[in-house]
Amino acid sequence: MYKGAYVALTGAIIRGHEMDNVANNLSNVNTTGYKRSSFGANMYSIMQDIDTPAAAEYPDARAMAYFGDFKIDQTQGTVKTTGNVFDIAISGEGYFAVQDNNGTYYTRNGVFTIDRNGLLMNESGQRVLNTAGNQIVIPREDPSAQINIGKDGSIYAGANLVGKVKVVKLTDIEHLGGSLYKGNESGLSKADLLQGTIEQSNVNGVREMIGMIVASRNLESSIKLIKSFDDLSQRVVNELAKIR
Amino acid sequence: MIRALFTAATGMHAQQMNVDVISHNLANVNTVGFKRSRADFQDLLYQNLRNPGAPSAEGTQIPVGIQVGLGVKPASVQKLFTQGDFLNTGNNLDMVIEGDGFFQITMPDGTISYTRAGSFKLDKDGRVVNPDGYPLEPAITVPSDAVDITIGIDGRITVLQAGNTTPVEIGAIELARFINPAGLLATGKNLFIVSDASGDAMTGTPGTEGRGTINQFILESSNVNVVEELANLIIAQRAFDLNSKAVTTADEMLQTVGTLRR
Repeated sequence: MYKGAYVALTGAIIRGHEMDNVANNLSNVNTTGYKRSSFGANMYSIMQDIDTPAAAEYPDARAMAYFGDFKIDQTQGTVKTTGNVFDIAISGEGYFAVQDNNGTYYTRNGVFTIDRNGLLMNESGQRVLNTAGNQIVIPREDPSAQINIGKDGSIYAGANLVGKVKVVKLTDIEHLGGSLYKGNESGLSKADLLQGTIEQSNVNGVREMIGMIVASRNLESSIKLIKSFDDLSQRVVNELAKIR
Repeated sequence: MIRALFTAATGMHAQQMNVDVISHNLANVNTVGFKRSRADFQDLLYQNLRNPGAPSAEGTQIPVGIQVGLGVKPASVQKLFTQGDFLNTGNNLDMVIEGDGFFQITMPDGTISYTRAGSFKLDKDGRVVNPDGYPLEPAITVPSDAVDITIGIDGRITVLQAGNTTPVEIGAIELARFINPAGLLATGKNLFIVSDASGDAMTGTPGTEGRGTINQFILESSNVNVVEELANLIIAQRAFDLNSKAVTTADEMLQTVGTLRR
């Protein structure tokens, strides 16, 4: 009846997704190496002759809100000291490369450990890769050797260099869950690695609270709009068409 | 929005678990040989609302997709085997391991457990036992006429018997070391048992092959840092708070939608 109701509907749906996104950021406020995702709506004009999914869905609408900017916020999280030998934080750009039988993934979560064979791995058991793309084994021949990890990622057991952690720059980054990302490697990063520290989530409570208010208020106004259109049509039916 | 409700619920659940771990650490702030734990979290699955590379409304290609995450999950609760502070007790069967390694304890069923708590006692037969009465491995029996016990940094135990002037060696303590101590299973009572992740115990003389040295008259206190735990507790509580706000907001939004139809 009124196209505007559909336009307002698209806005209301987007706000729902926006709230979902805020909730996800907030639930990861304490997740090591988590990068918040931000979410925005754009106005799209829809011409009926362009065959896009959006136009097909709401053929009467002339404009609508649709997903606009979505990005993974790459800002640095706070670095926290833990004193744990295999906790490594990346200070600056880049991701660790980890591997399991299904493929290679990337992560900023540098909570690593070694297994019984001395293989360096993350909490999920995925193996940390070195600059040559191979797994890293911390040798156990001389167990008294201190493990030192330099800023460039070189791992020393005593005086012996046993491997260099790979830190890569990524493009087209996507969240995979489990602190993992996928993306395309675009060269090695020169970021500093800090042994004995972890990078905390870069979610900021204040910002997310604002996001929450924006999402809920905008939803409210979209719903008000839909109601107004409902009122309008009610009056058309009940008052205009009244035969005196 | 229903998604947001459950997403925030995973966040609250995770923070609850975080508080559980912190409480356990704080409860053991005075436990000899206790090693603190740390809860680590990972983000949960993502729903792809729009895939990158799909055509946009203007006929161009979308460079970045839309992903909505579904919350958080606990990834690990890791024991941190950093050295605790030393407490000088003056008790001649109190020992501390300075460095890496564990004392071995024979359990009643014959299996070996491992501990960092070096507060040993003598039982009625003169055996060196832990506070629960489980004997040290290898077993050491102190003769009843011993007047003084000396434990060397290499674990050798010598006693001075009444009427004698030369000390007699009665045994030596061996320490166990693991390639991945964080993989050990805590069984309570300050004890750990081997798991497949920890690797097998590498036993031997203290001070060799990376094993720590033994110091008599000293105990290792818990490595819990109260200030740090309290700071973590505050962070966990605030995070819980924020997630509960997300639940409230999602609920209010649903309510708004509910008013649509009168």
